[in-house]
Formats: sequence, structure tokens, C-alpha cells
Amino acid sequence: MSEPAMGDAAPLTPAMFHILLALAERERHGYDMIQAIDAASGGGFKIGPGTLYRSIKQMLALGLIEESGERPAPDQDDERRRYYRITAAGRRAASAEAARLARLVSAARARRLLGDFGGGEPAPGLGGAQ
Amino acid sequence: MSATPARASRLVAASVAVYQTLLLLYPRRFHAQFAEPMALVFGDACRAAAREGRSPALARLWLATLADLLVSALAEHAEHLKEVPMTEQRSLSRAAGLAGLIGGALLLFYGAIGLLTLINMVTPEQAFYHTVLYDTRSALFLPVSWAPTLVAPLAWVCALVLIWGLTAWLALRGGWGAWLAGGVALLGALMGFLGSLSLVIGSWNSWYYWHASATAFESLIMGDPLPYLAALDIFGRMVVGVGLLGLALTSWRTGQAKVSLIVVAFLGALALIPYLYLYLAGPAIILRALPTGTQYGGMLPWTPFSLPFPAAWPLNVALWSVDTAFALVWGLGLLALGRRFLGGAVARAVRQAPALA
Repeated sequence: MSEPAMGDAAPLTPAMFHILLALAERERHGYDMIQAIDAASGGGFKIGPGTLYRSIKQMLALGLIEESGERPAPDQDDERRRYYRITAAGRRAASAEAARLARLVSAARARRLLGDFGGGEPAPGLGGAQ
Repeated sequence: MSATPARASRLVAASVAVYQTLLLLYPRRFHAQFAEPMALVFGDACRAAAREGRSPALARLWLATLADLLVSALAEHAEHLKEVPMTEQRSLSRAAGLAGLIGGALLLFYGAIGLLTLINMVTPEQAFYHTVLYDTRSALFLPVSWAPTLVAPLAWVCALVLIWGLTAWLALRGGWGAWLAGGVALLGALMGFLGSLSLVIGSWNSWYYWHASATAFESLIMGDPLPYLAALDIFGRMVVGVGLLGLALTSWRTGQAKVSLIVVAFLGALALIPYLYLYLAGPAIILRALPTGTQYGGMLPWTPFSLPFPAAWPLNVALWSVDTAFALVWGLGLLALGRRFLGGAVARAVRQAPALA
């Protein structure tokens, strides 16, 4: 099946990007994704089942992720769960989004809106990054 | 306070059962594809919250999940609307537009009758059009108490239910809005029936409505369906009230025609307010509606209070004023909405709406 064109430059929604980040590590089912997103964002990004599965539906249509046929051992699995994995197009889209965000961070840093993780001075009054 | 394991387990099971029911708010296709894994995810989250051992954790989870459900279900329905074939959208849009125009015209007529009634009420002498006015109202707008025949009120109520119900249904086209409208409309129908009954019983001893109650009470004994028809009237109003609000909500994020959508939302709320009052008053009227022996009590229908006539009169004027204003504003709104539907503007706005995140 050919993958629908996503367009590498098209920005992803925050939910999509977080899901791709979670799946870049390994295949996951829905609740596992929510936990991974919670951990990766330090609890700063919460996603509910509705938003999660709407995003999954869109990402399946865009060919960014696919349902995985591989499952854990039966004694460790609930057969009603669905596992998803990232596709090559998904990796490209996530990389493009990460690069876009990195450029924004660089621009913010250049305008002294963000502390320099390399030891620079934080913007006055903002406290800077920890 | 930490819950016992058994209690926590029951709470989780009940929460999942309620959430599974709420998942019906999503479009059918989405529900068929994702409802099961979504319920699994919610169950896992509930068990994690229960393990925290504090009641607020589950309450917080519910609040967040409800907000997530509302936003994502709305967004999914907006997506679903865009997938309706263009030809079907056009014909639905035209039908809804026509219904809106007819409904709007009827409401404006009703508002005009209300205005004439108000003038007649507040002037010391009966207006010259008094007889014509009451004959018209008898034929069209007061089926419970005044109708000399079944034909005119039946036609009126059927028109109301068909036009307003159709408009709302077309606006929402199934899904969560239809569930919500159906639920509230059922409540509306029940309370409308109670209200109609209370009008019949409550006005039995009323001097103000004595001639009306004589007819209505006889109707009730004879098994006349008119009170039920009045309940259907309320049913129709409730459906369109909720429908208009639903339309406003589902279309809010389109970024187009926001002003008219604000008007639609306002009209929807306005449609509901008088009937919320009615719902609150209905059971109270039933409770206190047994004949009081006050021959000239001047009880008003739809009010939970039995007032002497001088105090009841301004209230009656106020009620007529609210209903008349409601009819006029809503009639204008329906006309405007009908025009937009006829022009296909609503369908276009939904089709061109950006996807919700």
C-alpha cells in the first residue's frame, strides 16, 4: 500500500508529535503511549483517550503510524488491546518537526528569550532553563 | 480518605461503564473503530487513579476525561460532516433552509399575536380587535384551553414539531447532538405533559381562566388529546433549542460566520429559558393544584404560586412579554438561519472548517 503524502514540512499537532516520540522508542498500546507521553513531558502534556484515538485515526490515514501485528506473550497481553508502531514516513515527519522546533528554540535563544543550556546567561527576569 | 479495595474496584467498574455509554457520543464509525480500546485506556487510568488511594484522583481524571471527550467528539463530528456527499449536503441544506423560513414566519406571526394580546391586556378598554384576536388565538395558538376544534391546533402542533424538529435534526444530523436533543426533548415532552395537566387542573378554580378550564377539564375527562398536543409543542421547542445550541457549538471553530453563530447560540438559550422555568414550576403546580376552594384565586398557569388577581396580572403580562419577545427574536433568527441554509452557507462553512486538533 502506498503511503499517503504527509509533506515533510507540514507541522504536526502537539498530540501527534508526542505520539510519534513515544512510538519512536518501541511499539505501544494506548495507555502505554499516555504514560510515555506523561513521562517524556514531565507531566506537562496530558492527553485523554479521545484526543489520543482521534490523533491515531488521523496518523493512520496519513501513514505516520500503523497497527502492529506483533504482540507480547499471551499471558502478558490483553487481546483487546491494539499496538501501534511508527512508519518510515512517521520518522521523517517527527524528524522534520523536531528540526522545526529546534530552529524555534535557537531563534528564541538568539533573542535571549531562553537560557543557554551551554552556559549562557538567561533572559533577565525569566529565570532561565533549569 | 482512602477507599477500600472493594469499593475502589466498584468505583472503577462503574466509571468504565459510564464512560462506555458516553462513547456513544462519537460518530458511529469512529465508535465502531475505537470505542473498545478507548474504554480500555480509561479503565487503566481509573485503576491507576484508584491505586493512588485518594478520591480526588478519580474525580480529577473524570473532569479531564469529560473535557477531552466533549472536545474530541465535537471535532470528530465536524470531520464527519465534511464527508457527507456534496449533493446530499445541498439537498439537506435547502430542506433545512425552507423549514427555517416557514418556522420563522410562523413565529413572527405568533409574536405579532402576542404583541396585540399585550396591548389588549394593558389598555383599560378592550381593543377594537379583541374578538378577532381571541378567535385567532383560539384557532392557532392556545390549543389546550381555547380551541373550538381539533383541526387547527393539530395542524399547528404538527407544523411546530415537524418544522422545528426537522430544522434541529438537519442541523445536527445525528450523532451526539441527536442524543442530547433526544434526551432533553424527552424530558421536555414529559414536563410539558405535566405542565399541560397542571394547567387543566390548576385553573379549575381560577376566575381568570374559568371559561377555559371548563372546556379543558371536560376535555381531560373525555380523553381529549389536546394536553398531549401541547406537550408536543414543548417537545418541538426543546428540540430546536438544543439543536440550535448544538449547531452553534459544532460550528464555532469554523472561524466563519461567528456573529451569526453567536446569534444562534443566543436564540437557542432563549428558547430553553422559558421552558426551564416551566420544568421547575410544573411539578410544583401538580403538587399544589388540587382545588383550593378559592373561587377567585386568580391562579396563573405555569406558576408555582397562587396569587390574588391583582398580583397575578403583572406576572401574566410579564410572561406574555417574555413569550412574545422570544417568538419575535427567535422568528427573526430562524429566518436568518433559513436564508443561510438555503444559500448553502452553513454547509460550506462546515466543509471548509479547519480540522480541530
